[in-house]
Amino acid sequence: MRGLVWERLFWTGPVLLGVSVLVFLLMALIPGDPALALLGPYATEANLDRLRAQMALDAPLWTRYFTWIGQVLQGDFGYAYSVDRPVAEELWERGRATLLLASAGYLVCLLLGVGAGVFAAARQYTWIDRSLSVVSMVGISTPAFWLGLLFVMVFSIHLQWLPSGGIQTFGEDPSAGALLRHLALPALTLGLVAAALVARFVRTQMLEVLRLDFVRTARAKGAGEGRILWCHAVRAGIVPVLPVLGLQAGYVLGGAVYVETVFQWPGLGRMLVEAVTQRDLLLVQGGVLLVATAYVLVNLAADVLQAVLDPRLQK
Amino acid sequence: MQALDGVDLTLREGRALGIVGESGSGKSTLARILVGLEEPSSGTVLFQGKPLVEALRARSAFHREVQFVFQNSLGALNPRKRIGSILHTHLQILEGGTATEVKARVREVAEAVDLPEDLLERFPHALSGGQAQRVNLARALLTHPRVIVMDEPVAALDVSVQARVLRLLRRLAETFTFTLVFITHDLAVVDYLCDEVCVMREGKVVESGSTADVLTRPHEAYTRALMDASRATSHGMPS
Repeated sequence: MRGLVWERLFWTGPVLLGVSVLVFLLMALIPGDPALALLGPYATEANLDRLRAQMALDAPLWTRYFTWIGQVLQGDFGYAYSVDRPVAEELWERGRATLLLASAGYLVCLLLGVGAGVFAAARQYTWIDRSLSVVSMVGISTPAFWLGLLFVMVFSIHLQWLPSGGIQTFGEDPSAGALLRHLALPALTLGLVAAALVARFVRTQMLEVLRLDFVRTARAKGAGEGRILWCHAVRAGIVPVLPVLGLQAGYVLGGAVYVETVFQWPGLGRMLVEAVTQRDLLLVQGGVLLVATAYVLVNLAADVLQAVLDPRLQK
Repeated sequence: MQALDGVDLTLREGRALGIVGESGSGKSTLARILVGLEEPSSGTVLFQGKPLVEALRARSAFHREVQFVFQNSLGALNPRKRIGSILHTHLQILEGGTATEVKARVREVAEAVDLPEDLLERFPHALSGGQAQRVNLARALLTHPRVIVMDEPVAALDVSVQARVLRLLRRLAETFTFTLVFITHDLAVVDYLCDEVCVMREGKVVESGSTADVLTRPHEAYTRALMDASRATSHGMPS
């Protein structure tokens, strides 16, 4: 088990290094002048030159990359000119908001996806199974931003139950209840779309497991249906779905970009959109690297959990 | 499709009944009905004079007394549990008892089926087919059952392992008193293990009686054909 963890951890380094190179090159090779994008069309040539020098834009590409990655490894992500504060501070603040939204969305995804998949498999070919299949197909084909707009229209504009955006209403005292009300629609939007795919995978896997001999044996030995389903079948059926759950965690993190824009959620997704528009290279690089690190670590956790739960995968 | 048609059998306590027939003859369906995994569309199954449906309502009591062993020895074991845990849980659920009692009974039965103690710490994927089938036998024996239904328990094992498991089965049938229903397609196995035999074809019982009578004076051409097929393939039978 330890060997597996170390092996996966070992490969995490090269993956993140690759991501850092890619994101750096992408940002560096986009045509246009970042200094001009930040200072605007009315900036003087002297100011533009000064900012270019501060951002080291005149240095060779490889020097810029190694300077940046060297500083990142020491915890210094540089300065974000578009928001006039250190990148690390901005990432910390925005990252917390995204972590909250992504965790809530992922919780919705897990509860609904796994629950619906197990329920549909346990009642195969009934109207419940068919209805859940249709709903999950619709969920898979629905873009998250469209679902978000639909929720805003129904729950915020027509029913006026929940706020349409932001993390807090202007002029209102911050409280857990207010935060939950603001979190509800974006988390549901993120979670529902991710849950649709999970439900289909869980259903398929559960149907396979429910036909296995050890489940039939449990039934022949007199185990109750509830025990067979939750103690035997779900424990066996969920293991092969863990990598999909890991990928969906990545989807939830990535999906936050659209959802945060729709709901004006002050997280990393919205920050990245703004930073790309303003060509704030260091902020984009830092943001993408943070999301990629989270994505790689979540998938690492899914792999390790899979090995813990399935003794056949342990070396 | 009718899997079984007009099957009328009486299983006598302490005897071993072999149900034999080729694939698709309905013998596995009959086995599943006998342990309550399937319900017959018509007709009744009586267990100790009472309809099986009634016996199944007292779930633990019925499953303590009637046990089932499948053909797929490895597949019948939960791949995520250690062998010891599979056996302990099975006994704990059906009979209860203190941890010490359960442990002692598991050890006793494991010894009876020649399972080394270190094997209880392993996961199913670390067992051979023969070892896995011995675990299944141990599990079936844990609750002192009155009836054990075995559906082709040696068919998936290689010839030498088959012989060892069959020898073990005969020894167990003498040591533990239980009624055995043994589903197989091989008449040589029935001859080795069973007191009575019931030959099935296309869901119907075509011939039944004591194993000695049926095998020495078969009335049906189908039984004779099964005997010929069995003679051609029974080189792995224990002596």
